[in-house]
This record gives sequence, C-alpha cells and structure tokens, in this order.
Amino acid sequence: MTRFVVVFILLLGALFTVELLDPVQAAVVQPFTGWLADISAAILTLFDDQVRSAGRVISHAGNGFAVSIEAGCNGVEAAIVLIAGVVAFPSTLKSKVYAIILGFLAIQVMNILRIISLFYLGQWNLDLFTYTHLYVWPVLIMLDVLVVFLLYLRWVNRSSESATTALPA
Amino acid sequence: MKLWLEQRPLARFALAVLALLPICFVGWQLLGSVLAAPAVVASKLVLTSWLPQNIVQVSLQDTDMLVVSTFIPKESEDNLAYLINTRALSYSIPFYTALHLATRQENSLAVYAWNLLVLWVLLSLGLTATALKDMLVTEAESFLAVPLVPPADLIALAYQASALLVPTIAPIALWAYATRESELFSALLGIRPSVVKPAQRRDGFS
Repeated sequence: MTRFVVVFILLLGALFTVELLDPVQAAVVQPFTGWLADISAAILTLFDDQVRSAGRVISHAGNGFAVSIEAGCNGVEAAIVLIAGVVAFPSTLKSKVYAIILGFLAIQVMNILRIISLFYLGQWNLDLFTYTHLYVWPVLIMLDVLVVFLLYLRWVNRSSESATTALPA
Repeated sequence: MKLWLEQRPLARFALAVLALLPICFVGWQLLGSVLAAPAVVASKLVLTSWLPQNIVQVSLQDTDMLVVSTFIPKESEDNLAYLINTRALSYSIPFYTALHLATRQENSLAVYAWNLLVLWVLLSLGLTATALKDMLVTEAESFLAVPLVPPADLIALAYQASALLVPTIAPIALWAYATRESELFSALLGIRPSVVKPAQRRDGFS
C-alpha cells in the first residue's frame, strides 16, 4: 500500500510536470485537443450541420456560440491520474498497457460526452453551463477514472487468483 | 434488478454515488460560504504571515475570497484586488460526501469529520496557490522581487495541481484510505470473501 502511494504520487507529479512543458504542449497536448474538437464537432454535425471546428474551438455558425477546449477539459489530466495508478499497482507489463489504452479510451468517450453536453448547455443557459463545466463534469470524469481503475484492479486480482488456483498444491 | 445489483458491487457503488451526487451538490450550493469560511480563514493566516508587506486584506465575499494587495498598477492609484472563486476548488466536498455516504463505515461521522478537515486544509492551500498565481499574472516583476516569493514555475505548478488534480483526487484518496479494510472495498476489488480475514470484514454498503 505504502509503495503504491509513493510510486503513484511520484509518477503523478512527474507526468503532470511533463504535461505542462511547452514542447509537450505544442507537440502532443494541443494537437490532441484539436483532434478532440474535430471528433466532437463531427458527432455534433450529425445532429446539426451548422457546427464547425477550428483548432481547439467548436462553434455554431447560426447563433455564434463557441467553446474552446482548454487545459483541464481535454481529459489529459484524468488520463495521467489513471496511468499513474495503473503503473504504480504491481501487475504484468501487458496488463498495464491494455489498462492504459482501454482506460484512456473510456476517459475520452466520457470527455467527448462532456464536450457535446456543454456545447448544447452553453447555447441554452450560460449559468448552467458554467456550473456544470466547473463543478459537475470534473467529478463525473474522475468517477469514471475510479471505476476504470477499480475494474482493472478486479481483473488483476482475478487473474492472480486464477494463476494461484492453477498452481499444483 | 436488486439481485443483479447485489451481484455487482462496483455497479451498485457507482450508481449509489451517482444518485447521491445531486443531493450533495444541492447541499454544497446551499451551504455556500459556510463551507468556504474555514479555508479562507486558514488562507488568510498563511498569506498575511507569509507576505505581510504585500497583503492588505483577505476576506470572504459570499463564496469568493477577496485578496487586496499592496501592488498598484501603473497609471492607477488603487491597490490591486483579486476575487477568487472558492467553489472552483471546494467541489471536492460534495464529491467526497457522495463517496462517503455510498459506503457504510464504523465511526462514519468521525471519519467524515477528519476527512473534511483534510479537504479544508487542501482547499486553503489551493486558495493560497491561486492568490499567488493571480498576483504573478498581474504584477509579475514586482511580485517576484518580493523576498520569500517562490519561483514563477513553482507557483504555476502549485496552482495547476491544486486546481486540476487536488479537488478530484483528494476525495477519492481519502475515501479509499478510510474504506481500505472494509468488506465493500474488498468487493470492489473483486477479492473473494474467503481471502479477507474475518476481523477485517466490518463494513459494507449503506
């Protein structure tokens, strides 16, 4: 438990610091956020053909409403928390890689849901948009991370239990 | 449905948290400045002791923390003041409350009180980091020249961590630590009951 906590905190600090570095922001985080905007806009276009995306901004050509996906809204921090947790917990490298890939996808699916919901909420009621954006969605995203991490721990525990049972007495 | 949920502790727990979150957020909204006050008082102590020459006033205005500095912008006679939204950090409280209420524990009230105290300490650190960041952004040159002011990168990192990570991670960490030996936690991790020592199995769902 102590080992997990120490490794988790160290990894979290290291990954978070790396994420904030200008070259990492320019080469990874900003392009990724742009793709996220493109994907969200592509989904929104299925229901409304006036939705556009440019860089990190998603806008509505009809009413002029626009949202910009900023730091903290791209799911990268949530992914960092998951990665730190998965790497810190003792398991095989293969399990960790699977967990990080699937967990990252789960976070981003939830995050795209967040972006789409906020895009609609903002056009309807700005106060509700602010409240949901600042307080509710961060909690839901981290709850998603917790559930994904617990699923991973269950899977690791079941795998090690099966391996123990399979061993001759 | 009941049987399905009984066989799936993780789904049951997640649904319980989701059901409790709106109630906890309403309570947090109603309590407003009451929940922010202890953290603002602690933050005031830190800021006025740390930078006594630069902080004129720290007070609570509704749910915002008002920080008045001695910094005066060019072509102005007024001191710079910063209004910090405490809710942007204190939403950790309804999140933790929902996690706590979704779990039955021994000494539940005492555990909640202690963990709330930890959240208040983290909130006050977050508010302090935000105040430092605001002063750095508006008056970088004169602010960084003040003795005891940490480097800009450290302030930026402290602010980013307290704004982006702490409000969501701290509630989960406190909840996990408080319930780590409970039957619920074992069930969530998929550990079979026989693996858990009888003395450890004392908690469950509420």
